[in-house]
Amino acid sequence: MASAGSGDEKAAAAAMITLISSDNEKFEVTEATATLSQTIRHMIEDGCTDGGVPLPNVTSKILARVIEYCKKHATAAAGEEGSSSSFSDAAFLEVDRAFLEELEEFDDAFLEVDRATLFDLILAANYLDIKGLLNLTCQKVADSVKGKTPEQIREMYNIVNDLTPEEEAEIRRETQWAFE
Amino acid sequence: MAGSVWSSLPTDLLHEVSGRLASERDLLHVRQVCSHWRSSTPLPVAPFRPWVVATRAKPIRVGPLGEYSLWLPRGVRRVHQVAGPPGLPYCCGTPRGWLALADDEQSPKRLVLWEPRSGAEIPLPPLSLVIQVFLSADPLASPLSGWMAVATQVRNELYHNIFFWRPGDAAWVAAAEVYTGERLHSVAFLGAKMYCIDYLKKFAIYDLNLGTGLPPVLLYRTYAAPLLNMLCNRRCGRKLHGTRAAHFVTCDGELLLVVLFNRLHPSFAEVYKPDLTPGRRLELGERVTNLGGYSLFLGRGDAFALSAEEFPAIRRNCVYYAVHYLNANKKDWVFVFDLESDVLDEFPFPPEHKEDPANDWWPASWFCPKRPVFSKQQQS
Repeated sequence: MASAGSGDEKAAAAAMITLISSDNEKFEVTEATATLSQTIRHMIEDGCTDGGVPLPNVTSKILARVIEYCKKHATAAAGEEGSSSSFSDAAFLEVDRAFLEELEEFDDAFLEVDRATLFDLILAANYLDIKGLLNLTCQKVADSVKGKTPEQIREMYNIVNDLTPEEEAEIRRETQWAFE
Repeated sequence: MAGSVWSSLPTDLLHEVSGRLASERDLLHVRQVCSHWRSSTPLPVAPFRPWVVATRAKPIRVGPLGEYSLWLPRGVRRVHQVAGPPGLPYCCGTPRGWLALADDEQSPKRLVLWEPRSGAEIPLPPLSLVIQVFLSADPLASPLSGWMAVATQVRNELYHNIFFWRPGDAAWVAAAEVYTGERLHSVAFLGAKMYCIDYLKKFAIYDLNLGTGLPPVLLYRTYAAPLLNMLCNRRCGRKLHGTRAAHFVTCDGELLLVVLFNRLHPSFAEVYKPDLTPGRRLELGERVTNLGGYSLFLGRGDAFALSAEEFPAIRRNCVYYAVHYLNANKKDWVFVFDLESDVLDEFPFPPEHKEDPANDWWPASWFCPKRPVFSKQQQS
């Protein structure tokens, strides 16, 4: 392993971090992938990643998905840095656009998960502080409730209606307000 | 069983979700799912947008909107809790989800653009006798060189000055040429051009020269009243009722001209795609009776189009007109005209505004924040 602070770019790019899931599975990822998580970035900066980073709130199943997301988006981030230094020639813009489209397709496919996985992904994105993933998953929930009735939302997310009679009365007033 | 974890989604994450909801209807529905979701989702200040901007100033008065209030379209229920920054009680424009607010009607020392959802403020150089402020694009959604503020200023009872301001400018820059008069009915922006119509139906188009550093220039001017009055003649045989007003509005990337008629005319409004090529005579162009899913909102100065899909409380393919002109008898508050069926729905002037001098509000324009607005207490 490269010694810390060597400043050698190749060594930095090759630096690997070990992430340990709640069920003790180990995942080797590049630093570029891992640091999409602000939580892990801070741990690396504080130098407390020797022997691996334990993530007691994330199962191996979810961590594998999160890493898949981070790998793809870390490549994207590296690509963006590369292209910004080059002149913005039509061909480069074309490449950028194709890449962004590919990323969008990846995100769409990535979100094709059941509701329980989506829930775990939101919690993991929040815990690991991965802005893009939190944005993506919360937007998915927001989009899913668009135009739906409360009953449809309850069904979709298997939520029990536990509203109190007081709250039900409030809701009737709110509904009346909405039709004025 | 697995799904039921959703009823315990932490409050801050429910905020992440509700912050991404684009309609009040969806927010209200999310608040009706269960107790936890209800207490973790903020209540919007009104059940839907857009709102009518009402003013103390009678529609015949020259000058800014002045003291203002916001109402649901029928004018019966006020939208409270949308109070701008302190010390700025006067309104001089409601462009693109922003309120242009001033500390004084005659000679403001502060003129500020304020966005109620984010609380963002953009100070503008103060301008005395300012009437109305317009925005060529949403400042939060545009690069610094991609937008401009435009202000009208009282010159006298009949005429106004026009000023331009780019982000970073120390002062407003006066337009070299002004063709339109006081009481501007409509200003629309499309493709870095500004389209204006005054109450006499004088049309003026400016090239804003965005991103060039050059001052905006007047590209086109025409007195359109004779042509518009012809429409009336064409529809009603030899009778000439005259047109009530004309408004420009951009809808789904296209410039539309809405011609409003008096009551005797068979239809309340007609919509056209005008040909405004400089150097050529004005042509009304193709008549539009289907706006797709959109409806048009016209008021004093600002006009905009909203999609009924995104704003579930509005009807599609209608012209919503805040009666800001020819309204001395306080008969009508808002007209809703269906372009397909030609049916005119009239929201009467709310009796409380008619009878109670303390509640004397006149409809002037429309205000549509970009996203649902929450009251201040709930934002935290």
